[in-house]
Amino acid sequence: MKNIYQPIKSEVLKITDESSNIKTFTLKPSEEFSFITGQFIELSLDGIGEAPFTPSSSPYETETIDVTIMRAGYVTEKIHQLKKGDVVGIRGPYGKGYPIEEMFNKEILILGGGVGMAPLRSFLLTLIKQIDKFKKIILCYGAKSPGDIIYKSEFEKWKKIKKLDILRSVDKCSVGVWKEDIGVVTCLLDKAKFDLKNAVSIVCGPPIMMKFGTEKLLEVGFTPENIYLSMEKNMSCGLGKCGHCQLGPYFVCKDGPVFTYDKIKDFDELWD
Amino acid sequence: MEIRYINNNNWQNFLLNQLGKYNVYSLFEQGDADYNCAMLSAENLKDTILGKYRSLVPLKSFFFPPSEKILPFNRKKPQIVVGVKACELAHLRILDAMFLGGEYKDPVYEEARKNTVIISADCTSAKDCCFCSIIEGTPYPTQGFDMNLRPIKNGFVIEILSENGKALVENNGSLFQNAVNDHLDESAKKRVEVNELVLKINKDFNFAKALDEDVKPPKTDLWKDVAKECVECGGCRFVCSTCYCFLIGEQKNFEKFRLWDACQFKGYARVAGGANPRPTKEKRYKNLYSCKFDYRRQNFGFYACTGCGRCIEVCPAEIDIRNVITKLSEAK
Repeated sequence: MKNIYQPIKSEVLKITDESSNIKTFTLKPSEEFSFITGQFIELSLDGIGEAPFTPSSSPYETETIDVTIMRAGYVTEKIHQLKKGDVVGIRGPYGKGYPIEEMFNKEILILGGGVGMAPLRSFLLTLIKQIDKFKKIILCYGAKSPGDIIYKSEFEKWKKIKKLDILRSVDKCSVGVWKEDIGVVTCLLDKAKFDLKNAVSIVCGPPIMMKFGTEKLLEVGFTPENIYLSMEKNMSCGLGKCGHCQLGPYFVCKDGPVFTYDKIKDFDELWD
Repeated sequence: MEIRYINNNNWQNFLLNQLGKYNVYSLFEQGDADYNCAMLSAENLKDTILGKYRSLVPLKSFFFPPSEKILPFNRKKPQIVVGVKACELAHLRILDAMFLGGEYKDPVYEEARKNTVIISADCTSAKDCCFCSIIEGTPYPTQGFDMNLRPIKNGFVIEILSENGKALVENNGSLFQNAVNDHLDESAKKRVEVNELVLKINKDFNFAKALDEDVKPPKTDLWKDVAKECVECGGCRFVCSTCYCFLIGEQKNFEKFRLWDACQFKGYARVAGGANPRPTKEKRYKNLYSCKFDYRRQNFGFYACTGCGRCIEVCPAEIDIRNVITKLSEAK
């Protein structure tokens, strides 16, 4: 039987610069590998370290897998030094993904911030693949500045899709550079048009954005059961064993990383 | 459950017969306060004891050592651990649930667990920090062992619970006799005495309200008070036999090892980028408490604290979990 800690060797096929500190790595696993959108993987660098990431590619893409990674710590710093042809390890997929079928025939409001767009890209591509099954998709995405927006060329393609509204904001920028909204991403919720009675919201971003995003969604009338949060905790083993990602009685790695807000709203450490 | 009797002399012979087939670990005297756990040999066999109560080194070390290779991992020689106490068998319920439950079985733990025969023993006394009897336990084993020894004058009443235990007794059939009522009566009397001793030691602690149906800790400043003296050494977590947390390290060729980790360390839950769900001592202590008495109980139906008292014994700040639970009861 295979050791649960054994990674699959995967070759780096392509590296795409998304912003000054974010890159997308296209990996080719040496064995068959599939996942449900929202699930995550553990990516390891030989002899260096391992860290959790949610694939940003469509689960329908089975030959390769994309991970979009921000330089934020020791392991990600080293990952950013990878070159085409290098070999990394991947384990997983772990956790529960987005319950796509529960969202059929609904309006899907996606709220993303910064590199939080990575899992949301995978989610969005999953929706686009079967777009007839959804009433409407609204993507609200915010980044610090125009240069920090990731998947720039893909946004151009997505803008052409009927049934998909895209609203974007940047926190700050100089006059005349940016023609869309300026302000934190939650300001887009005042502009977004959706039918609250038949809508669900999906949130992913840095903790502070998740906190205020959730508060705003509650304020505009979403029920806690209809707010899906993709939580980031220290998912170290991914298997529900090592304890690091404990959130109340849950382990984010196996019981999440996607939770509806009602399940976790009472935990003190939710947003930290 | 089958019951037998063995006299002291035959017990030594029984242990002698296991050397070679198994690595046999047992307890030895070490000063007044603790026992040393070491491998038995023909030479040291005569000095081994069962211990009046548990040793300071936690049982988890046999299945989940302080550091170990997990990818690839070494197969272990079959082992027998002698002198395990009831609180530690209760610890194993939590470790088994964590490592063997859920979608994935931890292969390293599973291998060690499968290769280990546990010969437990009744406590014949109690330490001041022992509190099993007031937290759903008893100072004598009721589950989780292969064989259990109930010390009486000149020998032991032997309880045999598992196939492994049965095989050991059958393979050494001539050493065992049938237990008679006198043996059982003597042993039962001792059990009552030790249980009463534990209750007496803990007469000033009151857990009733804190650990009722709703174990959710009340909102209180108590955590700040409790954690004030904590020096963040992590000792309480390392000696706790239900603490299963570990850190994974990477080696060349994608090999991995793990080390014990502890939720009382500041960096434990921190993520890249710096967010930390529990940056203060009081948040970490509250998490410890909730983990032991609330979260794991929600997950598995029992507390992840069995009253072994090791955390009380090692704490340089003299934090006593019994006082914490008692104060929480008062705050409710």
